[in-house]
Amino acid sequence: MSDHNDPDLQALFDQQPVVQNSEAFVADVMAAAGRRRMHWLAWRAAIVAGLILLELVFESPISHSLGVLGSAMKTPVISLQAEWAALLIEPINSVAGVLGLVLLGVHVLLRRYTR
Amino acid sequence: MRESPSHYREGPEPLVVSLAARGDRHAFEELVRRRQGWIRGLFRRFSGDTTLADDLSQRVFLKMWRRIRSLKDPTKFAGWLKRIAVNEWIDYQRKQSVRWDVAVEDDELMAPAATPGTAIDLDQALAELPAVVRVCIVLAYHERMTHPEIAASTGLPSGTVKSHIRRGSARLRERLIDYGDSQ
Repeated sequence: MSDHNDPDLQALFDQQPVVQNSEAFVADVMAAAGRRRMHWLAWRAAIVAGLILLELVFESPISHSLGVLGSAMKTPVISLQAEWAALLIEPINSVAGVLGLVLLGVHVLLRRYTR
Repeated sequence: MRESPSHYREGPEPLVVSLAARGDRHAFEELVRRRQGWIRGLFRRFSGDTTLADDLSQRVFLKMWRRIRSLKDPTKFAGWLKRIAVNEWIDYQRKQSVRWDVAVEDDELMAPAATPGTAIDLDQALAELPAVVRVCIVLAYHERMTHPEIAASTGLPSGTVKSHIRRGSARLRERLIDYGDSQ
């Protein structure tokens, strides 16, 4: 409690009636939470249905794009002559490996500075 | 009316919070049941309007349900929930075009010419305060928060919080003299 509070005002605030618990309020909150969940599920279902439709109508554009992206992710970042050195850095020597390291670094920094 | 199972009603709050964070709807319902009076009371003080207070309280509990997984320490649930409530009120005020970053002039805190002997109650006196001053006063007196805690909750500088509470308290005293005398 703040030491600077005016004691007369504090007494007046303390005298004010407490809001009574209401089961109707709890029921309203639970109903609203249920509606939100249904809304969220409906959106997800609509997005999945849209993606499936896109795949069927336009000769699998998403699968094709994912395949191209997968190949691009495997592209080596550094080209090394020495076979042992290439083997050593192979797990991270790709676009995906570098992205993974960057994300890991960001995650560590966020954990350190947001605690 | 559907009731939470009895072990939820009797369970310590940190345990119920942990269960809610795992997606347990009964635990969420129990938290709403336990904390509704406090949150609705806080919004009634902020707004002076019971319908608005209940609408905003409902929004706070829905946000709580959505974000409860991000609460790392279940023992800090009450403070975390209060922060959501204060932010909800500040967001609501901003949507009503209430500016938080402007100084409150002394003439805004001048008491209107009251009819001598007119008794007004606390909610009426609070409603006459500028929005930002009202929030600081409610958090200081209703929630018994310290000035640094209020500054952290509202994002206002500590000196501004102190000034709002000092001048708001003086204004409330002035307005409530007749109320005190009439009781």
